[in-house]
Amino acid sequence: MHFYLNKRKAIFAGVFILLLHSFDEGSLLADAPLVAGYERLKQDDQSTSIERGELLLGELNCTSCHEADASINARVWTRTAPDLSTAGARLTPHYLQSYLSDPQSKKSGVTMPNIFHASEAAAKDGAIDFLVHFLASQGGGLKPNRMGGSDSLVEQGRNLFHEVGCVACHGPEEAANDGMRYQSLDSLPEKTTLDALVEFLKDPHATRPSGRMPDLRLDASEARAIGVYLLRDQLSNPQSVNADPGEEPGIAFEYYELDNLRSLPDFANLEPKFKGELDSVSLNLPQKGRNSNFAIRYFGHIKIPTAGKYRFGTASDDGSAILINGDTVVDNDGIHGRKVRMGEVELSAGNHDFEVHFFNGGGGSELRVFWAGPGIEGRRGSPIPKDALVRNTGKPMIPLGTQPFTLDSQKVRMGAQMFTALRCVSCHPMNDWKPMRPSTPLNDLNLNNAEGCLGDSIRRGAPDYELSDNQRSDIMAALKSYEKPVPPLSSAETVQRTLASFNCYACHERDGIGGPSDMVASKYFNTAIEIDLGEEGKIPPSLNHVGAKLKPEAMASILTSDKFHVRHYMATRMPAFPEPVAQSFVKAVGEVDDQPAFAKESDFSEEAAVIGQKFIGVTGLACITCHRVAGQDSLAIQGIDLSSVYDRIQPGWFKAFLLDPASFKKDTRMPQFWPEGQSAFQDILGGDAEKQIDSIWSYLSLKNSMPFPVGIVPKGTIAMELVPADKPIVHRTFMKDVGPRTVLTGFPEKLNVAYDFNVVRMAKVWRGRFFDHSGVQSGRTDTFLDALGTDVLELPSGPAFAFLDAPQTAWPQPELTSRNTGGQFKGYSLDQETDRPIFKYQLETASIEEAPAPVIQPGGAILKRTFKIKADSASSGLHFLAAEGDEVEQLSNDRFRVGDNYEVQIKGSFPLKPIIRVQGEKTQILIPVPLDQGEASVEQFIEW
Amino acid sequence: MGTHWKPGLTGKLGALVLAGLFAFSFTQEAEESDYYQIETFSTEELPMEVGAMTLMSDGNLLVGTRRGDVYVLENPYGDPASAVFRPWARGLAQPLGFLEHNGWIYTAQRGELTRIKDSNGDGKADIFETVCDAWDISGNYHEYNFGPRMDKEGFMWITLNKPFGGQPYADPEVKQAHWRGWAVRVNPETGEMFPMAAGLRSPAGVENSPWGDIFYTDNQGEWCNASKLSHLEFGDYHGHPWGLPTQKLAGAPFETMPQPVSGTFMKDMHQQIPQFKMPAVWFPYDKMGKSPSGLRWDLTDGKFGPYAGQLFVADQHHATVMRVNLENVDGHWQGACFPFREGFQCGIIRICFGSDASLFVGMSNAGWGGRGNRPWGLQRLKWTGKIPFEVHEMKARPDGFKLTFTEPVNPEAAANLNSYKMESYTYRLESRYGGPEDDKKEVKITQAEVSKDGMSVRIKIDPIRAGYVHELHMEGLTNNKGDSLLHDEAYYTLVNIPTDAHL
Repeated sequence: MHFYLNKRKAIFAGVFILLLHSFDEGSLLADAPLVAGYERLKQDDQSTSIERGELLLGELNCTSCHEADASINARVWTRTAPDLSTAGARLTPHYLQSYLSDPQSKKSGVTMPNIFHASEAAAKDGAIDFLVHFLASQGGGLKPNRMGGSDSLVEQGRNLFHEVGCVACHGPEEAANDGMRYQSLDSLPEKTTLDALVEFLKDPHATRPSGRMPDLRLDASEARAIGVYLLRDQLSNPQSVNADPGEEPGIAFEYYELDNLRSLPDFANLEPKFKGELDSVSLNLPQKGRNSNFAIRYFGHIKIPTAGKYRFGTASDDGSAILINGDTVVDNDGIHGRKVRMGEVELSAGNHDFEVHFFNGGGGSELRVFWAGPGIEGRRGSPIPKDALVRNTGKPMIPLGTQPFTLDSQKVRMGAQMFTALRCVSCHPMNDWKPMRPSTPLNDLNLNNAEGCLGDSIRRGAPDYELSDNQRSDIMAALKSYEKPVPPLSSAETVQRTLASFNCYACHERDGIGGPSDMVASKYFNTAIEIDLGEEGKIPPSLNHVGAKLKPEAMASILTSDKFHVRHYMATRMPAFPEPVAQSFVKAVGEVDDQPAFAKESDFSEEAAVIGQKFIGVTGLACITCHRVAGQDSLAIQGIDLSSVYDRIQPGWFKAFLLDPASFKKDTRMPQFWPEGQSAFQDILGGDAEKQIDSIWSYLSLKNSMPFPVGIVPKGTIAMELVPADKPIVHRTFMKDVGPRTVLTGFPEKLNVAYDFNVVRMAKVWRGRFFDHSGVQSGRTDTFLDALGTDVLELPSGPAFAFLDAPQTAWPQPELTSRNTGGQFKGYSLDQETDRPIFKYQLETASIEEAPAPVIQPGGAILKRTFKIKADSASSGLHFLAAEGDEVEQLSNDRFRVGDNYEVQIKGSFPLKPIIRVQGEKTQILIPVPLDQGEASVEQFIEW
Repeated sequence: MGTHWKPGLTGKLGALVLAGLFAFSFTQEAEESDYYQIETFSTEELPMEVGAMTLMSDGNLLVGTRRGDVYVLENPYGDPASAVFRPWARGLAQPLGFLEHNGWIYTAQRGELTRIKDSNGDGKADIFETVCDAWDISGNYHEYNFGPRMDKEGFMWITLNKPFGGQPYADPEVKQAHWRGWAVRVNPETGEMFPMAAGLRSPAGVENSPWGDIFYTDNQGEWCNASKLSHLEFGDYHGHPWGLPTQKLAGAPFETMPQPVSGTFMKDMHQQIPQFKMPAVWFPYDKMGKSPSGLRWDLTDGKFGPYAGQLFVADQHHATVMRVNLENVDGHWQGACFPFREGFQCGIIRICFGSDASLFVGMSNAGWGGRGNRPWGLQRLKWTGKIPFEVHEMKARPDGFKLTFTEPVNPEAAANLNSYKMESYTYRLESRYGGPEDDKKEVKITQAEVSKDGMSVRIKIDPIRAGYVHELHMEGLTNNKGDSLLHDEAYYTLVNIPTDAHL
């Protein structure tokens, strides 16, 4: 190692001596370092003081300074401190400065010791200043923040943070008051920039190779949202307010779906289906939309290099347009095949608002955008390059307390020497540097040294971890145990050490230790989808018996990748840990957890697989009620896909679990199908529980080749079609665009009607096939299915009858949740002869009977509705809505045409006096119904 | 610190393996089927997902399926093979209860209380009158309605399940459907609805007691740490906060019921909410089923065995029928539950006594996996005439319990304190989905005094705790022939400890 000696050597030496020389003492315990696994073990008597102490020796990096022999090194898992070779690119100098002067008060619970606890102020400040300059120089210094934030990103990030599992270690935003200690993130807004934090969140192991911060596999947008949330205080930093908004290359887009698109829509009043960002204007969206009837709006800025005249163009199928600074420059609208249109505009240098609009009605779709102008190659224009498009990235975010900082190369050099002199490099590896002076080897430590790291008055120069008394005595116990030769870690110790070091306990319980607190579990461990799985669907599984349960390769994949993360319904994610950790844990836990008695895998046989298939289906145990099968939805609860079982689960455990699920998972939904080992299927395989389970295993071993068991209904299948063969069918159900109180009638004449008895109105008429009622039949589905047939006619959204105070009174317009707008439903009776229904409802004083019926005629049946009204003869103002539409044409006194859609004919027991009126955008034909006779009848024929 | 197979598990698995090897050939133990036999109606052809069932005045059975079909089971009492399912009505929305009244069949469908009649006697229903539809349905699958059952004042009670998940047609203001999670009663003639009690979760069974009170069963889940049987009275609150926004609507029996604090022991809830109603019986999870559903009192006067006047409760998950004896202690109905019969072909939704005193058992596993070997079914449980050796009743005493038996017990065995094992535990009211047996303690049996005729035993216990399930195991107890009890466990939900010293 070279020490850089220069003229400032003297100053350096002076500071150094002052630093190391001890004056008075008093190690005050502010917050002891937080080692989450230690806190867990401490709550329980299952660990010894030595085990806990050894955990701390590793987590506090003790052996990084105090060299230990190989046998101890094998037991103490040194947690490598963060890689500081890029510190300058991540950490603000002012944060470094105040952090180094008192780590614990800057970041409560931190395991970084205070090395200046007893130093004189001047010496300390000098040393810290050198270190700050040195660290700030690492990684090229802090770059200006590119990304910005927004309130909606804060909200997104807040949700993610509290949902994907961050809270397990870092605690929720609100005070948890659950007696647990969480890793504080309070100082982040001062510490780092959004760009740097997002990079870190995307790959935490790059700077923290110890793996204590696991990789939650956040994608770029998730990392960004969480980053904005964690740094949200920067949004209100006065320094941010005047800063330039951040910008990134690329363009934002919004994707829309609309019906019957013939031209570019007015995007202003539309809700996008999804949105995102792209490198360039392209139809390759990150999310898949549909092939027809969609529209996209791209928006951002275009960077004009030199002022001048620019030509823009699109080639599109169907229509497109380019708007610059709000003006349409290219108009290529309309339904057409590939068509090119150009436009010209004079632009100044700099950024200009830039939008591209596109839609596709049907058929193929294509969109290309190009430009030509000063210095741009190509006579016909060229594609707009990525770096010419920029989009705003939201409100600027500047770290709190940012001060001007200029790197002083002298100080950098001094800092580099401090870094080795103060032994920072022992924990934070840097190049191949070694500490200037080695510390006492572990075995030679004087445990009674009152001035050592564990002493009551830690001398100047020795690190002060601010240990609690318990922590000190546990470390002491571990050190004392090294007075005798120590064996390697046993498998059981390895398991516990892993769970504690990597804080697996934050989410998982094993042997009664671990798992989220009740408060955090109940509020922040949730399901990602609506699923009735109880706590099982929310809380990560217990790790009891996990070594017997999971196949080793599967467990390793679970620990290091996203393979076999089968609980798609759980919002909390299983993060990834470094490979070596996973390997040692998998080996150890496999050795510790005994295999149940029947570890031998049964032999595969085709016959057995067929029997197993029967057990899985509704013909057997109906496993498909709750388990998906090879990607197909289950009937009710969308639980773990059975095609993953064979790769993940050990056969012996599988058998033991099926025989008695509750002995493994107390609250499990999994039924015990063989209570006391007795099968409900005595006629299959002699009723032998084990053979039956073996047959299921044979079936599961087919993995994605599993033939579907009986009962699986692939999406889109018409599973329960109602067919009115010789008599009408009256059927209550849920129906799309009708409601949850739908009553359907299907006539053998292939005419079908749907009533909405929430509102009390006829909602739809159609011909042909009637209805599939599987949408509400599996007991756990509430799918609103549509008519099966053709010629579907939607009727007015209002009721058939209303009492109007005056001829101009508006016709009742029901809302989605309106009840009884057309009266109170009173049920129906079936005609004695034909079984045709007669519906009854009470509208104020009028009792109304409505009988729908088909009238057969060439070209298909038409609908006849017969209404019989009885009322108090003093009632007045009852009107019948004969027709309603955008355009209604009167063909004769009793016949009307509604747009191109249908014709209506009315007959009454009274002279018809139709009123034609316009209500908003609709034209209505009202028929006043006189009730002076106490009764009246109306017939309405609908022909379409 | 490895996890090893717990002794209990190893033992159980060992026993299983043994049982598999020897197929019980060396045991002479009594089995449930010696006393109650299951007979099966053939339902292979029809999707008999039974959701509603009632005995009609003509002695036939009316059976409704969850798909909305209604059948008359003709000739229900002979050989099941000779019974005929005759279609009577169709197209209903999940009817989950029938009641015959004044010539009508009343049923709670998803959307309404309906009454149905065959007016021309052609064997098919032709009038479907809406009696009451004054509650919301939001379009969520979980909005099942159960009932009706009639109280002593002639009103019909219905229990309304709360939704689970999306609610497309919910009240936009509170974003939920109204009156869900409530019990209501309806005037069967006028259709007027009277909200009675809130705080229900998934109240899959509602029943009138022989003395005219209404009881219901509720399923374990959020705010319901263990499944339970509860007495329903006007103004009650049963613990689930979901339906509370509805209390602002006209007709609610209260207006300012506060949100309960999650984590409170249910026994202490009355301090927060005076109207909070403790259950009559808790069904400890997995030990006594997982999803209680239909329930019926035994009014057969002994024709169904020795349990006249007791209550039978079905379970949709375990495909079992359990037995309950109730007593009123200081104004609160409480009691014990016992295993009774397992091994039905599917999870049970409804049970119903026939006029021959057999118990009809209707089943469906649609949407809720459970034990059994069929997706639906109708079976009949018949008493063989033999009396099993069982605890007949377990009743609370100021310092313990009184156990009565169906035949004399062996006095030595019954006086031996080691013949008994007891523990007690209670439950919290929590937002989590189901909760543990909490604050568990071992209970010492300090005295066991056998009556002269051997038909009862008074046990004294320490401690005796109000608000706790007292779980009793009686492995050592025998009759004079040396037989063990057919079921040697009992679960008494001790809400109130009787104070009458004469007991």
